Amino acid sequence: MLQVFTNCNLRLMWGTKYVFMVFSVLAMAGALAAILIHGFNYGIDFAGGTAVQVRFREQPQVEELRTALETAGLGDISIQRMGDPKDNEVLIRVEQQRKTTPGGGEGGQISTEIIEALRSKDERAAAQSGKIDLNMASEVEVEDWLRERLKPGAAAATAEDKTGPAAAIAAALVKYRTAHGGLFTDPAEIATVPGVTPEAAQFLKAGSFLGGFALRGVDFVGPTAGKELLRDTGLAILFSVAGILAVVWFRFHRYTWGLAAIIALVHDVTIAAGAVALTGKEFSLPVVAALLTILGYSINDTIVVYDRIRENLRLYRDVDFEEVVNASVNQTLSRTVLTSFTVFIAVTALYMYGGDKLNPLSFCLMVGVVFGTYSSVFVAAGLLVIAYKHLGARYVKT
Amino acid sequence: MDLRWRLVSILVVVGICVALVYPPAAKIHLGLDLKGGIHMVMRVKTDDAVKAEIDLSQSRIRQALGEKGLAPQQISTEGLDAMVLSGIDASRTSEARDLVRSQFQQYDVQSPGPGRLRLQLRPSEEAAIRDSAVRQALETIRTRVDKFGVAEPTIQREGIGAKAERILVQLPGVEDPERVKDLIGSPAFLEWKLVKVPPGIVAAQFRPPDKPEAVAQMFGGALPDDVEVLPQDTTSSDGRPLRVYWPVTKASPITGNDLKNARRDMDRFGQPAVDFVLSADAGQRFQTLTREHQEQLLAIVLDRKVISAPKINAVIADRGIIEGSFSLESAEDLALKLRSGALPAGMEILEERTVGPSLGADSVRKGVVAATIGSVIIILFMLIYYRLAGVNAALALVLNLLILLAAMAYVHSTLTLPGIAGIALTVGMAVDANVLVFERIREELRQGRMVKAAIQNGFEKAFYTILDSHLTTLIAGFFLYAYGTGAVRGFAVTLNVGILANLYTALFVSRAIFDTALKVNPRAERLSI
Repeated sequence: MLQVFTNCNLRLMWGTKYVFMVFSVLAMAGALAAILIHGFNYGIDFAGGTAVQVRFREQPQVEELRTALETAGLGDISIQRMGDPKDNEVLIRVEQQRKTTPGGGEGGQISTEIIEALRSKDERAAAQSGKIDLNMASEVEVEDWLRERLKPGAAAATAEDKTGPAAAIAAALVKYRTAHGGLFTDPAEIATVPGVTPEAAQFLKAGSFLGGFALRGVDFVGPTAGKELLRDTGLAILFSVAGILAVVWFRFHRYTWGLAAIIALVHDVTIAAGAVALTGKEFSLPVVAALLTILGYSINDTIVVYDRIRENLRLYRDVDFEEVVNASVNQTLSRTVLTSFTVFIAVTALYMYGGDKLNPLSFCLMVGVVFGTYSSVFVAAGLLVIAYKHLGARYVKT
Repeated sequence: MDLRWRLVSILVVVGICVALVYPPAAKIHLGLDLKGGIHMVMRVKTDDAVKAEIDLSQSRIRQALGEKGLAPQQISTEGLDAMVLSGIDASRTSEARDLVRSQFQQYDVQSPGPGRLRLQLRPSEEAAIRDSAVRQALETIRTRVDKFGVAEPTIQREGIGAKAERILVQLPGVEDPERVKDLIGSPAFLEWKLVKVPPGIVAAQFRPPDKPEAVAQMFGGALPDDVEVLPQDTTSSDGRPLRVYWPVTKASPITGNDLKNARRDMDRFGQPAVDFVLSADAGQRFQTLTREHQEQLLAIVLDRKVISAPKINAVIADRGIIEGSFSLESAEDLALKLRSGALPAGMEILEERTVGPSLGADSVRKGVVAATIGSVIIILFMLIYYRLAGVNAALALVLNLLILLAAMAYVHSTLTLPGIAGIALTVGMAVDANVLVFERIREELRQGRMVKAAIQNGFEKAFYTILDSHLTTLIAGFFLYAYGTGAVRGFAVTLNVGILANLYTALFVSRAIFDTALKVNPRAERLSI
């Protein structure tokens, strides 16, 4: 039978626990320093601004893009390559905020400006001469354009007129484009798209062009939204911690247990957040979700250890408290390590294959899982022993 | 419970889950980040609604006091939610106070001095006004989106408690954010106001100036009390954009609230316009108005901007047309907004995200790949580590996923990108309860217990641990859901449902599988674990 720890009896308490306490204090201090000095790289969820994700037909020249955008007067810009290098994808972030006009945000306007600035001179000329950019046009735009050409005069028909060949061809084109990363790369492709009639292909050949890039997504977050999110996040963490404290107190009859568990939680979340700050990973909404998940995960681990301590305390009433804690930690060690291992596998798979959007979240979880496991033994259980010795048995015995 | 019935009940659960999930493409609702579309979070500026209430009260108070000869010389607002009436006949201040108190009970009325009254909107009233503004806005937006015709839109109120001022709108498959923003975010408050032509000018020859100060000058330096200046965006003769300013009456004899219907139409030049029908009562008023003001200009004002100011040539009753420089689309949209009613307050866009369909498809692919790789490795690991008992854990894991997806399909919860992360994490945690039980069983076996007793004890001893640990995890998950917005919520849903499913599979299903194995081989002396 395969086993991680068989009948293990490591001396994890006594002197050892102080070594780990010192390590934990240092790790937390380091994490706090990283958060306070280095700070978070806030994503637009919290910082506000506009982010535009663009995929190019050819390898994008980041410096050229930057110059083009700066010339357009868009202020502070950050450009970041995304995903696989062969995807030719970049994320452009503009922090500039403008006064919101009634009935509309500025997101669309700034993204329109970014797109304009990214276009080459030839493309701008082509667009102005009435040609349609098949990489940028939405399905509705393609449909309207086609309808006008396939059946002149039909464009003025009612908006309810959603049938006819124009709609089918537009749908086919957009479906093909979506399946190919949102981008036509070769003009010859268009005539080969299933569903495009030779007649339509003729019109498209003469009256359309392929822009150098396609818009994959636009995010706009207003300046006040971030503050509200941060506030709600703070509340969520606060209430979770309070709820957990109450449950642990109730189930273990002593608030010391709850407090020790909470200290372990704060320890894990701080270190995970510190790691995010230190690596400069984007602090986005999903990272907040990850931090809250670490809360839930870490307490889960701690409770398993606590449960065993409580059980053993009842079984061995005459044995030294520290001895009981040490034995309990040892008995649960293989479970603790195994579960962490499986969760770690899941999170690592997410980190490696989940794509850019999930990268900060899975990174944060990876750190959290490791420290959550560590803290349930060395912080949560260790603190109980320290409380027993320095505060007295009545604060700890259940 | 009899083992046979336990197995039957598990099969029933599996059957129900499969029925709920199959076919997954139709049953699992993908979120916008996976499907593509527009996601918008708006805040209802409820201050506007409070202000409107104060404005309305002011004119009513003026009228009510005027009828008794107590009209105040001046009414001024104080802050957002209070007003001060001054210049009331000093000897009758208390009479005025009692009158206002009895007729305007939404205010706390005090008399800070002779001839003065201070009215403070009660906090409970203010909260009710704000709440109803949000509810009305929600209804209006819902109507507009329905009429626009979007499949499976999400329109929700978000935020905490009575102060929830945010509205979340998600429109899958829609790609034109500018149009949508205008369609659902603009108040669409329509008013008809008479143009107050400055003295000495014939209405037909009045040309609005391009500076607001110039309007006041035309009136000899100061605008009359009942006149205000509103802008109109137009184009100059050489085609450049131009903004001109019209002097119009403050009062609006007819507003969008009086409309019975509106639809897109053509004007006599074949240009897009909006055709409207007024309610019977408003039709009467419109008739009187147009009869009494022949040859004058009547401004049509939308959200404090003049659309057009045609001359009144005929007596109009309940039908008319709104002309302006509309495109086909904008005329259609205006008609739609007018049919749906005006928003009670302005909207501020907090968040706006557009996800192209190709980006969504990529995210789904990557997320599914990551979750699959994670699951496969975990299952392999469990099989190697726990051998035959690992099959039990693997079954539990698969069933866990199935229940999770079925529950999401059943409550019509949408699967978002962070939701996929939640599922991947659930897979990792799903085996946790199994591991707890298996390790206990191993311990019991090491202590020399018989297989049957070991299994029995293992489950019993692990039970409270599993309950305790899952319960506390659920607490964190609950707050994640309660305070989370959008994507975080999607993550919380999968995580919480995953934990509940985990309780069922680990404590009930896994036990039944062990018991079945024991039944088949009751004298088992060894357990493959």
